[in-house]
Amino acid sequence: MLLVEVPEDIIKGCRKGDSRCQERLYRMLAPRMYGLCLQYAGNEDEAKDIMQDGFIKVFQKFDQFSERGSVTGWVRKIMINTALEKFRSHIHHVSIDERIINDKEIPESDILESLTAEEIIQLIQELSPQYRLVFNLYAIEGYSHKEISEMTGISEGTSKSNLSRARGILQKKLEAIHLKSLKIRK
Amino acid sequence: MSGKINRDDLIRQKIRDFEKAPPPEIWMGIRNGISSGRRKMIPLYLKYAAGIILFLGSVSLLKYLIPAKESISPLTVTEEKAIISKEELKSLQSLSEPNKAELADAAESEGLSKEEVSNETIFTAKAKSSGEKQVSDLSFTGEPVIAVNIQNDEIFPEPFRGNVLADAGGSLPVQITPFNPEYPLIERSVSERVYSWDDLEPEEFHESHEPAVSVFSLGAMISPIFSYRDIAGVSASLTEYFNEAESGKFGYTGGLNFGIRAGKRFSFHSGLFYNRLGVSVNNILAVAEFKESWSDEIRFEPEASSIYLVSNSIGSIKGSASERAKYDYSSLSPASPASAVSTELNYLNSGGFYAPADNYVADEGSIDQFFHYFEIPLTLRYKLIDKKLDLGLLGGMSTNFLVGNQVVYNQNGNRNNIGRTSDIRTINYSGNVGLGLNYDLSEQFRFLFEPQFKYYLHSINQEGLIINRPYSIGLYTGFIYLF
Repeated sequence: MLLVEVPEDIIKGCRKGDSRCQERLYRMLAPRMYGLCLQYAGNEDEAKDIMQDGFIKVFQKFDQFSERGSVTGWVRKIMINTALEKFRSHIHHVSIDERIINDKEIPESDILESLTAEEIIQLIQELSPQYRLVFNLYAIEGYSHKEISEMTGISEGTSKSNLSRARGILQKKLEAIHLKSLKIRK
Repeated sequence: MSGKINRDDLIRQKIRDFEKAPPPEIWMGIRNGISSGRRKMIPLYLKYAAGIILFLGSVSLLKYLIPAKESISPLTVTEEKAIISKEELKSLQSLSEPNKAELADAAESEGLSKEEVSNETIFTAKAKSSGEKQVSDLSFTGEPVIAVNIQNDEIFPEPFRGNVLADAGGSLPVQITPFNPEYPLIERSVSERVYSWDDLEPEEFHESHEPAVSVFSLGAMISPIFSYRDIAGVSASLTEYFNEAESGKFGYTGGLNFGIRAGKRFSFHSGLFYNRLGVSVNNILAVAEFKESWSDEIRFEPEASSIYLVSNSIGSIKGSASERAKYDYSSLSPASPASAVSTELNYLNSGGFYAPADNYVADEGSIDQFFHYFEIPLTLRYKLIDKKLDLGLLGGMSTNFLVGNQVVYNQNGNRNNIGRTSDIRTINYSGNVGLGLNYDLSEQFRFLFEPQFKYYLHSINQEGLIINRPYSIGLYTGFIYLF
């Protein structure tokens, strides 16, 4: 992950609660963090909520930031935790049509290469909240199932089956895109 | 597995550094949240106040929603009072562990290996006790239920409510709590629907199991009403005169109501109601002929040879044939009863009825004009709050058929029917609005309390110089039966 270099004076200003420094920090990190929020949210409105709540926490707890770490990484963690809190605070339902399918051989690299990041995030947003959360934490952030279990309160087995389902659904969607592209070529 | 890893890597590479400009309003929200020290700019004292109000409101509402007889303390049920038989309980207990065949089936259908499938992927039920059955203390429905714990911390962490059909037959009204204590029981009601154990699929638990809903309703309502009118089309001075001379009257209404449900919160209603509206008119002069044969005592007998001078905003009053009634509606000119008497006596002396002017005595009184209608309403009701005590809005129109018309003269405590008001429109339409407070006495019976305002859309008279639109306010109460 490419880190954004935040100047020292902005960090010091944010510690003091300087509103100009806060806004400068926000402007520097906002596009990256909004992209992250879209990844965890089911829609733009949810992403805005996570973004807003997350940054408020960032500025309210800035004195807890250790200067040894990266500001970008620290803010990213707060955003993910905010998304987790939103997940925990809502009752989630699984769509009836989200079923596991068997793996099939499809030229996944071709399909994924042809999709933009925004399109892939759109596919991830279409997953149900539990699947999306586990997929993001495992496949994108690199957490283990044990860590995911501790963060979300679900069991490791549940985390594994959620991941499996998420992959299956994404595979199904990619397959549909692949078939559509074949038809267009014909 | 490598295919899956490659895909994960590819996706990660694509989206890890994805950036998108956020909408500008987000920064405004963040700034407001920081500057106030709170999210969403809600002052702390307001949050506390809202919390207190909500708590008090909930406590008050609970008094209506929770019948007094309910007990929420655990209760030991003896065999005679058992909800389920011991045989059914044993069947339920026998389902507590999934067998190998169930595990294999689940693995195949879920696309998982056997090692990945565990109790967490299959629902199990364990009775809370054996031998004596403990009634749940979690239920607020007022009915004893049995709580069973389900090993349910898989992908459906939310509470499940429903019925479980034991192998022995019959249904168990159960309230099932998830194994994970982090998800507290939030639902209170118990479903009536019954499932067989084989039918329990994960997706089934996400359907809301609601009891059958009544579609039709039939009821009766009555109400005292206060009626008056709104006048237009005349000068300000005359409007002021009539408003001083006339006043509203209390009447009544009652009838039958029929309704059809059209959705969860909407319903259409019609029916047949009988309404009595009225207006009082003061400044009425009754002139009686003084008979020479009488003694010095002046007797005023309204039934005989009486002339009523009436100025009102509705219409002409026609007396019975035996009375000579004079009504002054159309002239619109009388400013005072005294001048009206003088005018009338002059008329009489000029050729109406021969009588010396000084043989007449006049007395002041009032009249009540009553109008009786059959009303056929067409009303739409919308529930704002759909609980045991409902709150809703209602609105619609009614067709009103004139079926009665009566004028009563009041003087010194005496009331006499002197005729009717002429040229009254036989059909009129009214617009109706109101509030609906409905309380469920049982599944089929409901008590209604509905303040309503009705405003007639056309003038009460057919071709009057004065536009006179009646209106009424009533407190409708009654009962309805749902089926």
